[in-house]
Amino acid sequence: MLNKEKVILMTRMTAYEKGKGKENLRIGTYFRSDYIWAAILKAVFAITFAFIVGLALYIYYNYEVFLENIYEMDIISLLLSFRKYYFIVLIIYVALAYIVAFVKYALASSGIRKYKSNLKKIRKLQKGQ
Amino acid sequence: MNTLFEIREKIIQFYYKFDAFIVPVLKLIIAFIVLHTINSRMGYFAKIDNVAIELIASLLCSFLPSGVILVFAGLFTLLHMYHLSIIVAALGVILYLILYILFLRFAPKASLVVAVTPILMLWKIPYFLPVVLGLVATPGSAVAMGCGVISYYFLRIINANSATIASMELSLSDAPDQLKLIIDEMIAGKGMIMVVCAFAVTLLVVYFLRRLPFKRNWEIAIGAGVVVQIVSLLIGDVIMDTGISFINVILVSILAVAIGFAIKFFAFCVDFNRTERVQFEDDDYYYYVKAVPKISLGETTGKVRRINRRHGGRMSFITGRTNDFYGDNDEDYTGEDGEYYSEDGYYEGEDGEYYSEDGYTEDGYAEDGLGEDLTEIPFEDK
Repeated sequence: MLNKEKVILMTRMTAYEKGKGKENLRIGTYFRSDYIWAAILKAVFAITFAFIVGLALYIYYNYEVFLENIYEMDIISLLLSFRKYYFIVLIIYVALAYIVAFVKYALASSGIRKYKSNLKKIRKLQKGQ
Repeated sequence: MNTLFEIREKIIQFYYKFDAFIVPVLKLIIAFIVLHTINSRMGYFAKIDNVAIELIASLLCSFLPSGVILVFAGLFTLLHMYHLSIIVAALGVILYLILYILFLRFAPKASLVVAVTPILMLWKIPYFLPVVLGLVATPGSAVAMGCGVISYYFLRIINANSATIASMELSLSDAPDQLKLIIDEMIAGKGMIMVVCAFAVTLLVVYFLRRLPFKRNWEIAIGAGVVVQIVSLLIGDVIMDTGISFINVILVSILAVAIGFAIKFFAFCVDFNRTERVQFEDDDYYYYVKAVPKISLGETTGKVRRINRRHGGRMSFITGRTNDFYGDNDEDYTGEDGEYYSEDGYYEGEDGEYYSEDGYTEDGYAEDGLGEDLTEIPFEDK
């Protein structure tokens, strides 16, 4: 016999697994601290990459100046003079990434809690049959 | 008003019934408009400037995830740039990469916004977008909108300087000149940052006001959003002299209000649910389920039309009896005193006021005019 309540629950859960739940269930496999640290690490890599690309563009932009003074200029100190900007941008961006990861995890875990309680209900229905 | 509700219900039912066709068709139309606009505006690479190619790409976009539209748009612009100059294309790749890595990965679902924003900017009607997105999307789409605005300004600069860029011969010494030309223009064009900030602020204002738990929050959010947008664009224009046409801003803002109210009218019941088609199994059966969302009519239809009823089912202040005591009837009746009562236990006095069976109005006035206003007295004391 078909159990109407069970079909409704299973349909809801499958729809969740297919849609919103896909990402949430993936997030749910991490501990919160791990998830947030991974997000911060990704942010550091992203900003470092962007900064290196920006620096390369800057050098290319001032190509002539660099070419003329290549022997006289102290390239190391020039590069070090940029670190202030790097750290300011890094701190802002990492803070942003932290907030986003924190909120995402909180939203995902509330969705997963509901999903798990539905799982329990289905198990009970299964036993009751 | 009832006709409007009926029309809404029909539209929603139509959407739920045919959403498997409507969504791909909408995606096809959007993709075609985006790609065709790119081709007609840039068109440096003649081989892809072809309606057949646009159509094939749009067809692919129609059944693939909506992010693919952005991928195709990016690809088309890069190909045009490449045909103009390899340096410009390299700069385009760098810009897109940085936008994606730094910002867009926070809002992966809003990729369609990135593709559509430049087109709306081109048509000079982007000013309704922040209000609409504030109503239906998350703050993450402010980032996507910002990326769209930056892309628009980048492509506009390339278009404006295409002749100069094409005339430069690609040599070791000329390459930085092309780069310089574009970067200098981007830094000089202050309008970009101003528009990005104004749009982001507008979207956030609409989003947060809409979510606040007070009455008429949607209406206030729409109104406040439009005002914030006009004011911030005006301030930006005064400071940076961006040359935005304010008649256009105001006209599109009026359009934004109209669209906002239309969304409010529909969003209460649509809630962006979709018909789900799922498959699963248990020990006994395979299930192929199509789940259609119920239309929850929400508070907009919560009005009840009262016929022949002046006072609602409230308690008589004098006797403490409710209307139900008098009129547990489905129709009007004649009371023991010979008065003609409406179904909820009130009769019309000679003065036109409505009185309950004990001769008092709902506010505590007696029919002989000697009663006192009891409305201010707390209920327990009466």
